[in-house]
Amino acid sequence: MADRRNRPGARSTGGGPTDEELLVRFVEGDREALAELVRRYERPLFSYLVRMLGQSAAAEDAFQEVCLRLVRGADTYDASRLVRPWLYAIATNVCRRQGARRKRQRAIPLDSPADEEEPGSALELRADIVSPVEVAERRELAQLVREAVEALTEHQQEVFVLYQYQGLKYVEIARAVGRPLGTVKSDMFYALRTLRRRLERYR
Amino acid sequence: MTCEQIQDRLWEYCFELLEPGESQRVAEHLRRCPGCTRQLARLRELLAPWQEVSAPTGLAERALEAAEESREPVVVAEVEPVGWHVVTRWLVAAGVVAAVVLSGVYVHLAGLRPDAQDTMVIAPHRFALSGPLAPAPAQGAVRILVTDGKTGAPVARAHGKMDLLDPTSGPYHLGSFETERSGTAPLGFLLPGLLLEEADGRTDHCELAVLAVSELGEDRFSLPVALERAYRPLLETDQDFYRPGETVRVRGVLLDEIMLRPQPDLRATVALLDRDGGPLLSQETTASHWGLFAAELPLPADLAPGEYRLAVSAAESVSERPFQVMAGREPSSPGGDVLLRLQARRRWYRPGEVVQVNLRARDAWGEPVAGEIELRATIACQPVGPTVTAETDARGRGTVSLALPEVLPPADEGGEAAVLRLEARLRKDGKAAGVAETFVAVSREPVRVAVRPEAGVLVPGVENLLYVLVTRPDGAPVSAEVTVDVEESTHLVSRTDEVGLVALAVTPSDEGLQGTLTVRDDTGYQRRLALDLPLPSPAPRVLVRPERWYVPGDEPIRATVLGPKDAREVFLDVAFNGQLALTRTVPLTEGVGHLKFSLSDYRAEVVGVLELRAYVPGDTGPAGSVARQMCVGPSRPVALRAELRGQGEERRLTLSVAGGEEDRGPALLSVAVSALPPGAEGGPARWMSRYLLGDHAPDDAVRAWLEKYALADLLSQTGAGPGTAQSDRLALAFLGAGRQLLPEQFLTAAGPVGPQVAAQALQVKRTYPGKVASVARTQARWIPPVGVGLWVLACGLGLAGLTAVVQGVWRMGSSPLAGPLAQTAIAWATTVALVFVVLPLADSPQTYLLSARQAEEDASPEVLLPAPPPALLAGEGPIHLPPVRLAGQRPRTLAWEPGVQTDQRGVVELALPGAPTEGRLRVSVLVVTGSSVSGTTFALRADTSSQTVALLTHAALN
Repeated sequence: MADRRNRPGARSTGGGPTDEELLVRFVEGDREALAELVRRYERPLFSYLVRMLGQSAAAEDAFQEVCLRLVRGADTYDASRLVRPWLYAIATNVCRRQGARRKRQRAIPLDSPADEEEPGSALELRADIVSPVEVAERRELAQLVREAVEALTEHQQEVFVLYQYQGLKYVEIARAVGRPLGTVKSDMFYALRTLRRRLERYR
Repeated sequence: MTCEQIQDRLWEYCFELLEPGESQRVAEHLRRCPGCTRQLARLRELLAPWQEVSAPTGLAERALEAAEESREPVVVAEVEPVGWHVVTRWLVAAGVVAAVVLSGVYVHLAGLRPDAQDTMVIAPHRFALSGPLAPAPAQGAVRILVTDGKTGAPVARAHGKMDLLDPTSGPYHLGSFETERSGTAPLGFLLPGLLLEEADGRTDHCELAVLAVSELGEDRFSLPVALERAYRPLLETDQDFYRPGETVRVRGVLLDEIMLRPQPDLRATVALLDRDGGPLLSQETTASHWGLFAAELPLPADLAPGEYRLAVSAAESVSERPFQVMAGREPSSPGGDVLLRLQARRRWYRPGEVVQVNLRARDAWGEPVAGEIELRATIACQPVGPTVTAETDARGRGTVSLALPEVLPPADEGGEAAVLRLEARLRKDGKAAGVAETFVAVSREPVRVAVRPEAGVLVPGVENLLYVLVTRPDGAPVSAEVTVDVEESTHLVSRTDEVGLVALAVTPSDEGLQGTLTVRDDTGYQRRLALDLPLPSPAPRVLVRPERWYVPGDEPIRATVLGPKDAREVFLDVAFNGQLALTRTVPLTEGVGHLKFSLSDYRAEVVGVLELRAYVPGDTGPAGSVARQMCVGPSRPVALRAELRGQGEERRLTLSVAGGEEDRGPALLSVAVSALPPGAEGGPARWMSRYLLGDHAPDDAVRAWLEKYALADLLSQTGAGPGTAQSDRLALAFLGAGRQLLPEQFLTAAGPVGPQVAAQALQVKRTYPGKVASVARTQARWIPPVGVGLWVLACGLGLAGLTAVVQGVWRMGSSPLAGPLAQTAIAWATTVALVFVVLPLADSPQTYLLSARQAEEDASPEVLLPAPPPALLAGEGPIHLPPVRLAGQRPRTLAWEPGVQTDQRGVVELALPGAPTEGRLRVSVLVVTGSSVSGTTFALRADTSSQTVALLTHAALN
């Protein structure tokens, strides 16, 4: 899948240190390693938070919270485990906590007009879109998808977003959301069934 | 696989949810099929747009800076378990629910609920104890009621006990009880006189400690109660009025209040008080072993005329009676010193007829007076005709006539009948010298009809006896046929008896009794009257019909109880001499119940008045009950035979006591004999009245007195002897049949209860303000008590604390259980504390003591039978006292023997020197035997050799 190419690798395939090495170095006192790690995950984590929380401002707060938890919890990090699912687990917890608050403010649209004007908004990244009509169609379609995803249960939404847009494998998702693999796949199955029912006719 | 099947699986394939083999087949198909491949591409395009978004500039740096600022380590869950906060909430909720449920189960198993039980005790706030000579201890009784505190429903099978807590002699167990189906328990007990021995006084203030336990809870409380030994001095003087310088002879007997037994060897003080209560003379005396005492008080020669009082006090009990002191030939009666006597020639007149009145004027000592008479006639204070004048001649006699108008003022009976008051004033030498009055009945109808239900008021729904008395306007009986018609369904015909009385059985409806009453006398005169007897409000529902009015003490006492058909039982309270002595529950069958009990502890020696009150459990209170009375007397009444012998200075009176207890031995007599002036009227009943009242009372007052104290049957029962005037017999027969005592007379007996405790208590208090017995009400306490709740609370808090410690130890660890556990424990502890500590505290045991203080008059010795109306004694108010008829009524004392003992045969002989041979002698005798105190006052014809009279017990005497 094309979008999965953009994800940060579980382990660096280049010459740089892996996520796990960076974290170990940070625990040992290397603050630069933390900065490197955070920068490496800045974009995917922020995207994830935006998708889960729907608002950039909330996502920024959540991102700071994730970093804070990362810093405070680094001591307890088990070096034998992967950093990526751990980070997503922290992010998921933060989302859940904020999501609980967000649910009480359901009236706020997921994507406010202000968000659309921001640089880096989803559609503008599509280089192959040429026709303004197509742009409008795509925008409309994206809105439909968002609404459909939003309509999923919290668990289904987590699994779907982590898989489809964050490029996590099911095993990683299971660690990130703290549920067994079977449950995660089951969530995904039901998520797909719901999405399919809502989106089939637009395919 | 077809394309359709493939496209069905595209979503799962795209998201790697297919089984490996199936996924392989889909991939192979896709390589061969451009259509399906296009579908897959479209699916990916569809889901693609929600791409990554770029982070705001410097997001990572800002986040790192913020993170750097707080580096204190905290517990961070690597992976927080799924929705732990949700689990926490559930745990907390479950904890609360479980705590409440478990508490409820526990409380239910323990049989406890807050405010589960109400207990009420209807008890007198004082008990009178019997004296040392009493044949048995005094009886007391209370009624205990246990109800459900929430619903007010009666609680059966609640059990408990009642003790008397005496601060000096310790607890005394009065009895145990178990409530009946009605939720009440009658509790009777004996009150030995010994209870007071250590109290060193007349009154002992104790507490009634009550414990009541039922399935609903437990009540424990105490009521203040006073034990008292009160005495009743009975007083008699030889004269009703005295001249200065004369000697006042006083005799009497001291009785204990409850058993009416003589109190031996008690010191008594006889004092002469002036009108304001200041002592003028006093004399100490000691009652004999028989309880008799006597004193003689010489009046000073210069004592000012007026009203004085004689007071006898013994052991804080005081009894008083008034008497007049008049000065020689200058009496100070309000109307002057001449006594007028008025007498109409007939007892009643019709309107338009002429009333002829005979007049007689004498001075205080019997000399005729001539003077001018003015006669005024009034009906209901309205003058009738002009003032008529006349004169009395040298013999003091005169006659005056007065024409009655045809139309009577509309007084009581709408102009049909009225009472004419005749007032005569005598002027001598131009000065007012005397005044007198008399009353004459005026009626258009020759027949008067009075109707009275047996209980005084109608009791709806049950058979009532309706007494109909048919008389002439002056009260003479009429033999007549009486017909009662009620709503076409009831047609009763009967004839009056020799006193003009007939009893008819009727059953009133809830509206009372409406119908017609027709009377036809032997002359054929017929009178038809509307019968309209309303019900009292609230209407009583139970009628008690004693089998008879006078019961010898050793015979069983029977009564029929008539109540509502739907009532299964009624409560019955029996008071003896004013003290609640028995409480019973009488089962009803078809609205009829039979009661039989005996005063076994008293046997034949008991004398007194029983009052029976019955009411339906749950009714609105004592107002719904009617009191009926019975007299209890000795089984073998003592009879007295009086015999006059000899002539002149040798005249002797022999008195023989006969009957009564076989083994009584010699009796002690207190005898006063006086000669009645010629023409003195009235038979024993009237004399009895005068004896009792201590004054010359108008007939109405006598009648009221007789009615009030139910003497009538007693007099006829004991055969009051010859000489009873027909009018007296008439009054006695009727009033005796329909008598009803005033309810406040026996307040200690009152305490009808029903299930609604609070309402009842208020009702009782309202009905008998200031008089009612103590009424207690408690609310059940919570069991387990607060202590258990505190223990549970401590456990909960301990658990919470332990959890907090664990949490502290693990603070850097990732213990996901610490928070929820702590919250759960605290929730549990709070809930348990709320249920077991706060609620019990908020609903702690409460005791309401509605302890009504007794009114002041209850402290006086006039408890058993109150004194005559003050208005009567004081000569005030509506009761008019005629002037004292000095010459006409003052008896001459022939013998005064306060204490004389009979021989073994019961015979005593008194010398009556100078006794007249004409007219009558008044003989007043008190007889004290080993088993009873009795007495009578009777008229003995001076020329009759012998006469036998029955003696009255002192329950009736006073």
